[in-house]
Amino acid sequence: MITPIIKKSHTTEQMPVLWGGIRQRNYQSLTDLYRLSYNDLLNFGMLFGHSGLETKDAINQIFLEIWERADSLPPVENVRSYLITYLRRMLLREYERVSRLKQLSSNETVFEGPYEDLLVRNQQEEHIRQKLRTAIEQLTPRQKQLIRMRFFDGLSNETISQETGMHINTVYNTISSALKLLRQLLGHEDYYNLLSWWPLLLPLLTGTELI
Amino acid sequence: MNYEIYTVDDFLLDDRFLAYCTGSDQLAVAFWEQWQEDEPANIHAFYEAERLCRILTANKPRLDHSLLELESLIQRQTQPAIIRPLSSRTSTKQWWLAAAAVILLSIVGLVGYQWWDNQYVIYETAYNQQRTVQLPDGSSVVLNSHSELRYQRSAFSENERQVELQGEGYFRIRHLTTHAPFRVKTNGAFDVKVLGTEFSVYNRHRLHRVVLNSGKVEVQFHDKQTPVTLRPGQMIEVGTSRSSLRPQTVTSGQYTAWMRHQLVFNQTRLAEVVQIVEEQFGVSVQLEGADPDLTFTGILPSDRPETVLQAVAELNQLTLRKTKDGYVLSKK
Repeated sequence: MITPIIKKSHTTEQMPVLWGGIRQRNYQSLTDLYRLSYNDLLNFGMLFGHSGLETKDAINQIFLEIWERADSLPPVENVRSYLITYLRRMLLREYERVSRLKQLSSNETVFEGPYEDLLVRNQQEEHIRQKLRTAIEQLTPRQKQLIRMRFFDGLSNETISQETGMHINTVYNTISSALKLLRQLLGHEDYYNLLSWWPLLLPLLTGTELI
Repeated sequence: MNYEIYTVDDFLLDDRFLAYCTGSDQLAVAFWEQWQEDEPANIHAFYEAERLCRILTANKPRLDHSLLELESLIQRQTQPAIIRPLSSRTSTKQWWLAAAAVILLSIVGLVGYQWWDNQYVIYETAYNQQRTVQLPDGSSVVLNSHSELRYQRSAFSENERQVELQGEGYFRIRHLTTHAPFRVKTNGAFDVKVLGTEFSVYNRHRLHRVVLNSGKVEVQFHDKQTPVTLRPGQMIEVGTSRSSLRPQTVTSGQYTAWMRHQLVFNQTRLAEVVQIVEEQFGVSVQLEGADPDLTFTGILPSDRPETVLQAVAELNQLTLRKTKDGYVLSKK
């Protein structure tokens, strides 16, 4: 059930070419590499316990630094792991700066952080956090996996089908059934309140013997 | 595809929609932004899908927004301000003469007509409200929150066009066959004179700024003789740490983000962030023990002050508290 945090795909093959472009101060290569690696790096930082905004700022800082010293960049074979190491250092530096460094720092290997926690933690509103936690608990492992691949990894239905070996229709149906459940619990507040509160009025309507 | 009958789930299962929601594909973003503009019947299903998508993507910053931010960081870092030669002054003097002549003539005109003609037409916006104003010459102005635009009917003629601005506005000025210049007067540091162009003017009590999108404008300082000409993408800002009477090259998108209901901060000092939030929403924000020199970078939706302040607080290790008079940002 555990999917790798970051999937290698054909996009990683373009990276060395783009890296070469950046070393020749080709701006397009820089933005192309950014587009290719953004989600990948963001997921990495967020699974490491950082907020989306913190990670985004670190990513931008990295690309800014890369562009500033484009002429003196070393040739890099595995661009993806170079960027990830860079990001990890950047985030650790940030962690140390704000001195809330905990046990995380000494870890050389990256553990798969619990995705559900990450998802809940990154919601801004408390009532959404609570509802989301309840909603996720009700999903089957399969549904959870596909919701994650679709929204967190940002994969197309086609790619999900290829990676899981599931038929595309099954992918659709599984995500669709998961969404129904999520929508029920995360639906619009007024609607949700209306539905959850009116049964409490029943005793009043049917007499007080239930109380 | 018949997107007009799509339900919330249909949107969430659509790959193009997902690419829009994460901002990973420029074409998809452009497509869905256009699609929303026609206000289809199921627009609320679309909004709901967008809201759920934000939740399920763990509120990740959108790729396109982050890239925009990176680009403006790079631009700021690598491009020094360009010093422009100043434009000819003789034409300005002649223009002044012409303007004076026009004013003289109008004084001689019928008193009643003159009275009517000199009445101000006033457009105002409340806090967190925007409106588009059509001017008599076919130009238009988008007014940002808590702003006022006024002009006298007499100020639109074949020879001149003139408005007064307090607050912030984005001007789309029509070029007239008579080549009548358009003048934006402010009670701040300068006036702006243009022929036909797009630019934004910011004129609030502590900060005065003009950013040019296209065409050419001349900035005439109230306390200086020599005007300065701006080229597209250049800005003049008076009243902050970045102040300079020389044009600076900027990404103009940052200064028109308010039209997309966004606030863009680019290494903006906390003190300035607070000021911007106060002016946008008409609320009071206090700093308690928080360092006003901390800088903040980010693009935030400008719909509610809490959203903006919460993000600022989280990034700077501050706590946000709501009081009966407004908000307080304090050290954790």
